[in-house]
Amino acid sequence: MSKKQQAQPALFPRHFVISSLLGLVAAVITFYIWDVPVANKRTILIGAYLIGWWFYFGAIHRPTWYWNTLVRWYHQLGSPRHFYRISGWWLPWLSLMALVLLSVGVVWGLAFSPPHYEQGNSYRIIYLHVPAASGALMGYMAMGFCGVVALVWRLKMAEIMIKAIAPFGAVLAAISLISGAVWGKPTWGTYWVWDARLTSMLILFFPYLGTSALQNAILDPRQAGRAASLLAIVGVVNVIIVRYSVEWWHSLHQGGSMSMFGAAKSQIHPSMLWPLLLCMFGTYFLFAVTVFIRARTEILWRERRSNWVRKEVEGAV
Amino acid sequence: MSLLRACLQREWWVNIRRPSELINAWFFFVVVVSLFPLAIAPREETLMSMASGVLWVAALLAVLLSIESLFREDHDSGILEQLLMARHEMIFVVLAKLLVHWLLIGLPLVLVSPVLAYMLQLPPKVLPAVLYSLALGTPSLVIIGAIGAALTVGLQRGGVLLALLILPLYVPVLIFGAGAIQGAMTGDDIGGVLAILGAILALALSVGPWAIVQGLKISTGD
Repeated sequence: MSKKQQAQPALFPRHFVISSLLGLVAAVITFYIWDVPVANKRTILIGAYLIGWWFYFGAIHRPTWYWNTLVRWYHQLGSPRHFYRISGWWLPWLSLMALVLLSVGVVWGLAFSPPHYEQGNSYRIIYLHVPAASGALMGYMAMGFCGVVALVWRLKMAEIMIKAIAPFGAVLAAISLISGAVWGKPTWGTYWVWDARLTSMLILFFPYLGTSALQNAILDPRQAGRAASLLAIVGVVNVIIVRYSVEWWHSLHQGGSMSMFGAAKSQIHPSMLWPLLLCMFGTYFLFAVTVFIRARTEILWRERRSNWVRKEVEGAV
Repeated sequence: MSLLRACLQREWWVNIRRPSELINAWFFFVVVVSLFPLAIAPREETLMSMASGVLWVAALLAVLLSIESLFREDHDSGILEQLLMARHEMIFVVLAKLLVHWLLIGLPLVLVSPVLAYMLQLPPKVLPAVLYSLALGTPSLVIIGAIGAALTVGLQRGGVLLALLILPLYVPVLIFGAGAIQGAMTGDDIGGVLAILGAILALALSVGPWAIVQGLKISTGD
């Protein structure tokens, strides 16, 4: 028994506690913020559970490897240069996944899944609407997470990620609002109602714009990044409060007239659920691809005076 | 504590000796509220149904307009950087600023609101609800607005940006503040809604000053 090995067991409980706390937070956010069908929630929870166990056993059996891998990932993903390199490897695969998932999901959903028994074919906009909405919400959570990382550990990459996430998140929020309005006209008879969910999506849309606007208004990139991080954190807290306040406000005033969704979506038939899931995960991959491309461009711009960028660009030309 | 007292005194005198900005904010509130009956037919039931929204949106905009100058003067004269570099706790300076700002801008709005509510044809039994909801809500508005003011203090045209950043954050306060008045009009017990307003204030008071200090540090480039 060397000294090194003796010191290791103390490592895993701390990380187990941290990762289970993170998992708990993620689960709570998933349940209360992210409006996904119940079956979908279960899938996510099982996935999170399995990943948690993977971390757990990794920590027991190979603590050094586990710890070193974490440290390496932290340093590599935190450094713009290494992120540029690694994301270059990942991008083709992510793009391929996005392409395959989205094309299969869209064709399946639009052409092959059965029509809705009440809404006929008009429900098919769900394959655009729900992925966009959940992507916008997830992007917001990712932005808040990056904000914490950027302010606590001062990672340059987290600031770059916030800048990369905000525009596409705003686009997704806009798509979900517009497609929701188009869907609402035949279904509810109106383009817009001040329903709890619609209102919170609208409120979510503005901070995306605000983060981008603040980023663009401040000239110094580091300062802009940190300001946007703080705003992203405040914004996430706000979104959670808005979500509840809008729900209570709604219940104070009108009573649940729009409850068809909460009930109907959880009982969504597999023939509709599967293409929807494919579209959702395809959108996540598309989100990742867009964010990576934007982040890589931003890295090249920020590091334009360094040697490796000069080599990279000259090599490309 | 002597630090807090010194900051309070300084903020108080700086603000009192420049009364035009204070008076602007108060009059903004009164003028905006009295514009609505002119724009919409001054029928009693119309006014009554929209009074809560009008009062709250006007109070919100008055706070938003006045909050922009909260750190600007100190930033332009360089005092802010000196304060941040000094060895004391910046959070007390911020708390003093917030308190004085609320006393000079928020409290007058609260005090004048029953009169305006009466002009908007709200029945007298609702007036306490107006008073309580604004008294609990305006401090939150000041604190949340100060976060945005801290982030935009170094910018040339921060005003429009400030509105874009801060107005979405005002939504919960607005909903519950106006909800309290609406509830009082229908004769409900508004204790619960007021408690939520108080909870928002507690959250803003515990997290807000930290965020404001961070924002000031970011804006002055550390």
